[in-house]
Amino acid sequence: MVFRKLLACLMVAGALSGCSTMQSAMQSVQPWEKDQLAKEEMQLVPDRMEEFFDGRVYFSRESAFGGKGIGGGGCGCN
Amino acid sequence: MQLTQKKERQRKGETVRSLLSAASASLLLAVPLAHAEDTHQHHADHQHHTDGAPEQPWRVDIGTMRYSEKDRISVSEQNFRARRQLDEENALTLRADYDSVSGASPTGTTKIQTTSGASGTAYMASFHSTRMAAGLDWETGISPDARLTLSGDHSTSKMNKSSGIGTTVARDFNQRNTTLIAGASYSVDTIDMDIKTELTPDSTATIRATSEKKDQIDLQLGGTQVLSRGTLLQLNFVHSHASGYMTNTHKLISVVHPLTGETLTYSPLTEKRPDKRDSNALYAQINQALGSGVLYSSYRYFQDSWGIKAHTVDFKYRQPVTEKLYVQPHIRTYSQDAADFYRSMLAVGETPVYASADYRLAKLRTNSAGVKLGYKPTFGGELTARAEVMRQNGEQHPQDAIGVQRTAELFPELEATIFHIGYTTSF
Repeated sequence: MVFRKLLACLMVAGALSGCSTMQSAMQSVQPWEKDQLAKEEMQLVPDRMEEFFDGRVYFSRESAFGGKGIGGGGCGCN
Repeated sequence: MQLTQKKERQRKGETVRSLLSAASASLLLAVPLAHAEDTHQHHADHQHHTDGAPEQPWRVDIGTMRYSEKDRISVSEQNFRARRQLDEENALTLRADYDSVSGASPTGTTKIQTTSGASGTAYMASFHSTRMAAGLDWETGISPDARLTLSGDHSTSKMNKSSGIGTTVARDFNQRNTTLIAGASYSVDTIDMDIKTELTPDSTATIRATSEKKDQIDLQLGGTQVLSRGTLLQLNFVHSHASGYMTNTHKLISVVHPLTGETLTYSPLTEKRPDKRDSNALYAQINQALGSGVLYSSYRYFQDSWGIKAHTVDFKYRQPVTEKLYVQPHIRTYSQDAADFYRSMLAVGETPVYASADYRLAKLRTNSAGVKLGYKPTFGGELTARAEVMRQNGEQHPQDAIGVQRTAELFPELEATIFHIGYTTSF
């Protein structure tokens, strides 16, 4: 129950932060303003090992798969 | 002496100029393409000299993971990845992976056999397997604003082989604030083992084949959008079409008396799944800089032709503690509906076209929480350590349970821990 409440709070916070930034989305960010976006931690996949291991675990324990990209090799298993 | 000092000053000046030009090259060139890519992304630290030669052409990631389920299986996995920037336009990545799985896994049969509660013997089955995988990616620029990636993968274990090829094209627009991505991949899986006739009593089933195949095509359409100086959005749609053998040769379904629910002497049946599966996944991710930290939020909606609908919500928050240390808590929740042909058990005489009691096709929920620490040691690179717990719950008393089976807890709940250590360096 605590887990779900925490999750709900985070979802609201995420949605609010997304809405606030949508307002400025119409203005293009200039190349010299991309200092923050250039940082390692702002990449879509900042830690490829973490991404890889998570993908392996959840692929083998849940029915849903994919979404982030394609390929990457299967396991030949069902 | 003065000459030496002058040379030293000149050298320092050149180094500063080199760093400045590398930083601007990184900002003007590397950033948009970094957002365009998913698994084969650029990194901001791929700086270049003004003559075009990469300053740190190598990036190496190594990692090891230990995944342990309570009273069930354990997995030990090692992963290696090396990326070489050949020049400004081309990069090669070599990937290798080794894993070892051992322990017991639920077969799909019910726990109890009789009204007195006697336990079944085939509820869990032990196994051991190892798997090796390797892959190669080639990234190349096809225009000043577009990039092509070609990938090849192969994995092999004692009973399974998988080979795949894939390609993605990423194109930048709007001062490189917008990137569109299209991709396609094809893979073939082979299962080499004795395959029993489906939906027949396991004890008397004959061997129908010794090898089966499955093909899968994935199509991707997606994009990224810079929303502000500290906000990045990714949207992705992936359609998959699989055809071939998708039945799990290790899974069984209990056959019970239609009134009492007792399994008596009925042998469980082998399962059978459809030989076609179309699935769609819609994925959205937002990276939001919050002060010195970054919040990563993602959502995925999944549905397929087997009747499964699933939602995944994931949050990570990376907060620097010192210049060298950061902490990253993580929570994730996942829920899915059951497949149309999921049956917790069958009554004697039932003859469905497809049926599986694999709990992974049942209605279930997964909750995960963990924390990761990242540390930049003085000798360079970055060390990471992560610990995570995962719980999986489902319907203990599904509607199709019969007789005495209604009193049993039918879903094999899962508790697992994940430990992962990694090291990344560029040189």
